[in-house]
Amino acid sequence: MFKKYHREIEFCTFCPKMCKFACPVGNATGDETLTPWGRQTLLHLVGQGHIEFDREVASVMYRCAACLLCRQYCDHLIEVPPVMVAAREKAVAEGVAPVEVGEFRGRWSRHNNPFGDDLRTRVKTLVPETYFAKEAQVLFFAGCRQIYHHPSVVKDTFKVFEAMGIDYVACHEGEAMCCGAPLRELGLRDEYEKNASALAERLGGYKVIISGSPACVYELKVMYRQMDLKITPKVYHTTEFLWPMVKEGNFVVRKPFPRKIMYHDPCTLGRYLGVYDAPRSLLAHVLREEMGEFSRNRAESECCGGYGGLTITDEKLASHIAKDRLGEFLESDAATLVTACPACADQFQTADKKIEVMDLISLLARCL
Amino acid sequence: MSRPSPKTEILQGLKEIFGPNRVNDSLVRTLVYAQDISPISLLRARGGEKPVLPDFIVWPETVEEVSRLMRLAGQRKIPVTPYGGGSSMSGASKPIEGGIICDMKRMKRVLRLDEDSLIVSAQTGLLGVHLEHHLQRKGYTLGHFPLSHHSSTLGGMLAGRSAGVASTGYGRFEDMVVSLQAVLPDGSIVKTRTTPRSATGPNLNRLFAGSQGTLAIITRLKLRIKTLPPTLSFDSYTYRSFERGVRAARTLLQSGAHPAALRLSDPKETSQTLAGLEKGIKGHLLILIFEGHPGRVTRMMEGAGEICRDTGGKPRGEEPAAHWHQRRFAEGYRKSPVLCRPGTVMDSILVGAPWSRVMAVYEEMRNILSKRARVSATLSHAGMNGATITFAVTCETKVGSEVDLLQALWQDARHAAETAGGTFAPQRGAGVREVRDPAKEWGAAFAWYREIKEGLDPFQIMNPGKIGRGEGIGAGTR
Repeated sequence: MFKKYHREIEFCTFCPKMCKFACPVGNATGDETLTPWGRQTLLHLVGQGHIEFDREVASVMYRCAACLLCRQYCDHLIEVPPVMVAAREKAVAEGVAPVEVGEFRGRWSRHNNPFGDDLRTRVKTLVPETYFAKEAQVLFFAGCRQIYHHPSVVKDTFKVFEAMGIDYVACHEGEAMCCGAPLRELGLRDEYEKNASALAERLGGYKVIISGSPACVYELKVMYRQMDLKITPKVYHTTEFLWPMVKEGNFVVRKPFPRKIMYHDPCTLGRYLGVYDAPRSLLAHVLREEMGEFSRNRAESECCGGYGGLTITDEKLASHIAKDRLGEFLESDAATLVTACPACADQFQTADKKIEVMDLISLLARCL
Repeated sequence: MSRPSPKTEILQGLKEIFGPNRVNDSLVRTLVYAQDISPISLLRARGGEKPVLPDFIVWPETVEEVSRLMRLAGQRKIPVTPYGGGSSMSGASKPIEGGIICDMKRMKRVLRLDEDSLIVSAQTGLLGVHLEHHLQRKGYTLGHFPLSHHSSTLGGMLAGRSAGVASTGYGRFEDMVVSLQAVLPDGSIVKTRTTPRSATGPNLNRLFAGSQGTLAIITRLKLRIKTLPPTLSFDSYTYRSFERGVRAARTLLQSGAHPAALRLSDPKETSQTLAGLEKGIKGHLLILIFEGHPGRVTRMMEGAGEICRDTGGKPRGEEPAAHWHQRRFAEGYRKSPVLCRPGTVMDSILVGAPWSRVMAVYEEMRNILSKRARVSATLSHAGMNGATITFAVTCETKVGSEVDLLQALWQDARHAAETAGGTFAPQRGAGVREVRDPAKEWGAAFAWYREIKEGLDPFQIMNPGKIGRGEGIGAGTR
């Protein structure tokens, strides 16, 4: 079983749990089974025939936030999330995936996105008309979560573009408004590949693609290319795209942001894409006060629970993880929590409705 | 209507205490909790051997729940094995007679930081590394860094009498305990008093130190902390022989020098320690780390340097020591690539000895172990009166014979340590492996422990089979 991941499964099973402390799911549940060691040990036991790959084993495999913190503390650079995705694909194939996965598939089939809504129409209400159906080499891919849950961030992005004279960007619209990250995370491989092929065809002509959702950037930039889909390698997060121009003086700060903020590194933007400096540089440019940092930041940044499909299969657990991360922010003197990922923003706002959570792009827009 | 089975009744009782979501009796959970990370268990698992499974796993969130659990277990005479990080290298948390595993990791709160008294209060399911993160954010440290720093809980550290790599400077974990709260096998909740010291009677905190879950479930600890040292300084020396290095270490410690960490490695271990460092330093390497206020650190470093040079040490500068410090937990990463190779055996055997016996232990152990394995040695956890030597052993054998070979190595090691005057398990709980015969190890004092055990745990439900094998009740639901 999982021949491709033999090394990962063996190394973790025989490891004295060196990364366990970092696993947000293990920490939130206290369950040894739900740690990288526990999950991989379970797959090892399945491989040895001690246990069937049944519904309960599958449910363990779905309880991983894919935050990649385990790799951060592994000398052998073992990545557990790809093994979990392989296990989830097996769970789907054998009909033992959690019921939420089937429900998600149903929602997806309505409009090819996780929200079961017509996002193509929604995005038209958020972005000035001039950005659609135009000849351009640069494409803005808003991402389904941003459109559905954070329409103001999409509006703010174009407000910033306009203020900076960035008029050469087209906004993506089409049947496929989602990169398909949740499909891949949940093990719905067939649907993922179908969606990716269709989307890649639509995106194929652009030389640069930008998105405010790091999960989308990761799918388009890394996963699609692993599938040999013809798509530009120049896929950037909005912060990466903007910072060189802001640095050149293209962004005039009329109203520096007045409140003390703390910045949370999203797992996908940080550990998956290696983007740590661009958001900090942008913030330093517009903040009145020095930015606050979590004690675990950059590559060691702790997870919000918003990735890996966890919000779909175990929303309560995902929220627990977000609350764990928020503890340090609540103890600090910062008034606003800033991040650069719609999933992180959702997680924190859901976990604590009283705090102010802001996307970095919206913060920039406020400073214009 | 037929009467429910004992197991069904116990499950029902557990659900009444913990609710449906914090009790589990599935094969999936019990299989995972039956494993641990001791090399012998891992080798057995690799060979396809199925371990003894617990019947249930529970996750308490309050001391009252632990108390109710113990009352239920006492009534049903079912074993209870306290479980923290599951990081024991000797099977201490293995439920070898089944029963209930009580996983403490949901009791993980830091309760209070008394900055005037430098005492932190925390629940015992908290991982040591998480407490250290919490303290360092506020400018303090516990100073306890065992090799299992990333995976062990506070409760496990006390139950196993853990010693960290900086124990030369900060002391062992039991030295850090100011007071504790524990649940006895009859369900009563006991607390010791929080006071810097009390001579009104025996120190009952010490009763639970090293008890390996056989006397009580420790639920809360108050621990001594220190302010984070403003300066950290490194130094290192090489010696022509292990013996010269040992002499230097002893002279240095007995002179009153007070390094936070001191470590002497033989050439083979030195090459592992310094892997990745460009300088090709070889030989018997003595590493010293000093912490504290700059002036004091400078004075201590100068004094220590003089002793090291006078005892034949060649100065090697700060880099080897700084490199080791940065990678001080890396030993754990070495295990998996080796242990997952069929036909390969790897383990580490720790022997403590007074200074007068340290070289005898080193020689005897090396002579015996090297007949079957490649051996490297490190001296650490040193103090005024003695030190620990860790012997790392690796060898190859026929696939399927790994467990036999490891057991033979341990038998040799026991014999050698006993002959040379050393003691096993100096830095961690003995579990089911390291001390087979406590009566032999402790002498007549083992009878005292048995009387205490019988007084506190008349039905022998607490972690049976540990500290004296064959004493477990073998009851439970079987």
